[in-house]
Amino acid sequence: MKYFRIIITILLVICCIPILYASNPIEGAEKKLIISGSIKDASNGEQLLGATIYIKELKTGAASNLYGFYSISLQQGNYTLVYSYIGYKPIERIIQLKSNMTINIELDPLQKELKEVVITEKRTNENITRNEMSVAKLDAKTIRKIPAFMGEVDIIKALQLLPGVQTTSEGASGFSVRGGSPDQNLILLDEATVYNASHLLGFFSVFNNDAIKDVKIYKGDIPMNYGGRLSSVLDVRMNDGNQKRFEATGGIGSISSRLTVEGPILKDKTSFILAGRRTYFDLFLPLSSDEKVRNNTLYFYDFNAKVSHTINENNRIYLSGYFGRDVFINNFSKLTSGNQTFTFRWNHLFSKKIFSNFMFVYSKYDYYLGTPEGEAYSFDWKSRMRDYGFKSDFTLYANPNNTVKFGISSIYHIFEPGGARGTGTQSIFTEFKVPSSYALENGLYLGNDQKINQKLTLKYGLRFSMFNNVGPATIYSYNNNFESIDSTVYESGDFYKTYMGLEPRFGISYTINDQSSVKASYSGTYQYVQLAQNSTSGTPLDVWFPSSPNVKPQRSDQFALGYFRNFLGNFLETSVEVYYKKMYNSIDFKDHAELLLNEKLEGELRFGNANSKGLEILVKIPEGKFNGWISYTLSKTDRNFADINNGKTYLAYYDKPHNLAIVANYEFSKRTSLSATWIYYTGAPVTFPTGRAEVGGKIVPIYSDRNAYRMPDYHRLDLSLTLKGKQKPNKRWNHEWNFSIYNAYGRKNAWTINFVQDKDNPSVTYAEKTYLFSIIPAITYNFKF
Amino acid sequence: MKKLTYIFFAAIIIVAYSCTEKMEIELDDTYTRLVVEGRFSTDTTIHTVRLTKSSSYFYNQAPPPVSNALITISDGNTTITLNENATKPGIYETPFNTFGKIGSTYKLLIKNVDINNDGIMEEYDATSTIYPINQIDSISTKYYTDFEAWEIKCFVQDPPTEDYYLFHIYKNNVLMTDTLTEPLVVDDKLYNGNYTNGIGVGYLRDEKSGERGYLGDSIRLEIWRIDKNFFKFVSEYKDALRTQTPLFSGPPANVKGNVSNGAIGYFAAYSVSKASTTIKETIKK
Repeated sequence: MKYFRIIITILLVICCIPILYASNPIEGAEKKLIISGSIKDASNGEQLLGATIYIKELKTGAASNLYGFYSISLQQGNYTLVYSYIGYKPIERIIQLKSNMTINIELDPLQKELKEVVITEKRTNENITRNEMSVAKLDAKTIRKIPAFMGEVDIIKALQLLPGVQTTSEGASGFSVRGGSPDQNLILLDEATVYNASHLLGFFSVFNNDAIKDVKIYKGDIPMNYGGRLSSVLDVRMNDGNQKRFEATGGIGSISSRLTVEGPILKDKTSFILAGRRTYFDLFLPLSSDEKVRNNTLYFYDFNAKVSHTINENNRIYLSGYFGRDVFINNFSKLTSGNQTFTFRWNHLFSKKIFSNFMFVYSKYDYYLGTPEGEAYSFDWKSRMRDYGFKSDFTLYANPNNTVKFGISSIYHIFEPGGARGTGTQSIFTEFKVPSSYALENGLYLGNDQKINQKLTLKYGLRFSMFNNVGPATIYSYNNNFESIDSTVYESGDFYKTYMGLEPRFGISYTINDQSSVKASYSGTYQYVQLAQNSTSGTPLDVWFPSSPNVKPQRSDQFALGYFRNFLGNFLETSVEVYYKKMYNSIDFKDHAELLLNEKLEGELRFGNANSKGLEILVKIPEGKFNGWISYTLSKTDRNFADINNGKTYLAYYDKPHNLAIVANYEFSKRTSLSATWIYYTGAPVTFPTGRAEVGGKIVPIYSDRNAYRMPDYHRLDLSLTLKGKQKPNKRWNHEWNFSIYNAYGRKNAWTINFVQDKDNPSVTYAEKTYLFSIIPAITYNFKF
Repeated sequence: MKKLTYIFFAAIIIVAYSCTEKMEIELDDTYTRLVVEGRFSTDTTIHTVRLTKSSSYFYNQAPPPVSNALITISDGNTTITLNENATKPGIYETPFNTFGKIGSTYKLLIKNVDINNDGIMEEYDATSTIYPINQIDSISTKYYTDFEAWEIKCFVQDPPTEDYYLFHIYKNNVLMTDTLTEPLVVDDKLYNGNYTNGIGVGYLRDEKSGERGYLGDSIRLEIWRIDKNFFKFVSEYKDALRTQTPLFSGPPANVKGNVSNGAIGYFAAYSVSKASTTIKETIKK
């Protein structure tokens, strides 16, 4: 009941705020005037997210929101406004503020005049002043410079070079943030959840960089408008499409080709973007000398599409979607899998002070596995999960010192963990289906960003989340040995279990001076859906399952403290953060767990707590001829589960104490640039044998405690060289060649270590490592016109 | 079916050009455990129990046998005593005319062993039940060029009960599935009560010279109806001995058997059904 009272209070407040402000009698009384508008890229009309507006006279400022919109309340007077964004030429405007003003700004990208970019240029220090920590932002241009595996530019691989973000296993798209498991990351593409962000077993990610504008990862200090995952939010925004002119971007790479077309439908009003990508290494398989390989078909493709339309100054709508699929076929089987997302968004200004965003989102992940008909073993196997969601977010630019945010979200989850059935008349298999389950996940939040004075800013908010399991369902109950003893059947529409959680979010930032600041934050988070997977790298056979009467929601508390310091007139940005994260009701799986096609999956789960702490250092040169960063993470993550490892604390698989990444780009000339990345991390914890027994004619290992040993340390150097074609003033066609080398010094990094019996002398056992890639060169040709 | 998925991924890995290399690793030692392998079936024959000791992982010699144990198998009414083979230490045998009865639960009892060398004798036991099995109607063979293997096809009616099976293949009276990783082990969850329609239950692969099948070779299939514990044991055993990869292996874990007191291994009682055929064609390659 306590919770209900809180919900009702929050609801009331949320309902009242727009009413109070929409008509706004207070505005006049305060004699405050509003400057608002949007900030765009002058070359293509793309909205710039997080661009800054600085008011010289007041030494204060604001930033554009996720949709490029900004709003500032000021007293009547004369002001100098500086609009800036990294990689763009700042614009200064001197204004006489007598009445409310709309100023739409278009910033020119700097690239055209590379030579003029010198250190004397005033650089922004928003990393110091902004009340936001544990966050990293990458734009498409930066990501493109990083040497890519097989030439495939990959957002997730780029993120893994940031402090606190770790790869789970070589080549995997799964990542661990501050010791969390990969399913604790909320991955959003235009605000729709992407449930499996990998193509081809994770060697590539689902995001086509050509269609992406901006990527932001929150490792902690998670904004209250996000919920549902413990460890991080990866917010990926698609391009809106060029509003000025038609443009095509494309590339022909070693394994895939890409083409993106964008342009205005109605100039400066409506634009579209359509991006597609397909791999073609299956085309080379017939060249293989191995017949088994020759008969395989293996490829993936994806499409991104988006239409943006500005109805008028106060209303903008967007429609965007993603569709991608992996296909693998051989003579006796077929596997396909993929994601689909759809977003409809409406940005509406109730007034110059109230920005709102309404959204419908849809996400789907499914896979299919089957064999040809006509055999006794013929079968097909399908699994699918879908989300239907509605979200609305409101930002109230109350006054220069307070920005109030509130909103609601509601997602209906449908889990179809899997069904298999025989196909054709010969098949011996009967239909077997793990029953579907349904759930409703709601969120409600309210908070304020408050500037106390020039130096001190606070943000505080509360997110309330509620999770309902909805019938029909059959729920097993389990005894202390995790054996099912009984079951309860719930009717369709029954809300048979409800969980609620309060998730406070708090952040404080103290600006010491122009060049340095201290920040601290706390985030409380809840997670109600999770992935049934106990391998470290992951396969397409993902099964997500909800909290239920047997599975309590996961919960975490995270504290972080950071010191931010810029040098040489913001030429060099550095930061040090420490964090401590405690996770409750964490999920792990029993030994030899059966996770697929198991209607009693919940009996395979074990629950416990996890601890994670760490220190993250980032040194970054954001722009210039020589740019890049060094990131170092020192961390420890362990777990304690009563029913795993005999109740003894063990290291999480993601515990890699030292993690270093160096990313460097050097632009020799306007046309030539060289990039290098070097990464090093401590080997992941593993379980090795400490004894052996001969059973059934083979040597069976007797294992150590869980994760008592470590893999050898990992390190790797990647290089890439980009040669741009000559740019002529009246020629539209631009092109570039990119040559890259993955693992340039051919380090044989152990991907896995197996213990095997010698074929000639079966009494002899030895350790054998498997490494995936030695030196892999790739060539990509990119064009734009 | 889950096993089929491994075939997909195996193929993908080939494409990914993975390589292997021997490496040196230092491992700690754990304490010594008793290792038991005991089988008792409905066949009238000598049934054996083998006792050995576990060793450090790089011991690199045949496992040390455990001699002078006192071993019995009992169904509660009759108790059979096993005697250690005079020439094969650690192998204990029943008389040649013993057999297990369907519906009976057997208890293996091991006494007079001191694995931890503390001077006090330890005692170990394990139980297993024999369930009924349907007679195989017939078996046949078919050559698959994709796999480069002969498939043994099985025709038998599965009863409506929850059943667990293990499939052994003999060629010219020699056991082909001679390590426990090789025989197919299934539960009938996905085909309970159905006719098996000649589903493949074993393979003779050309790549193994000893297995290669030729015209006129006699092929025998032995189905064991095993109990759930042994099914779990063999499944975990296969899991533990399969190549580990980050893609689909969970964390490695010990194989849990049904023998008490921390011993490793199993005692399995089971019923047996047999059928034979001969390879009737020549495959041109």
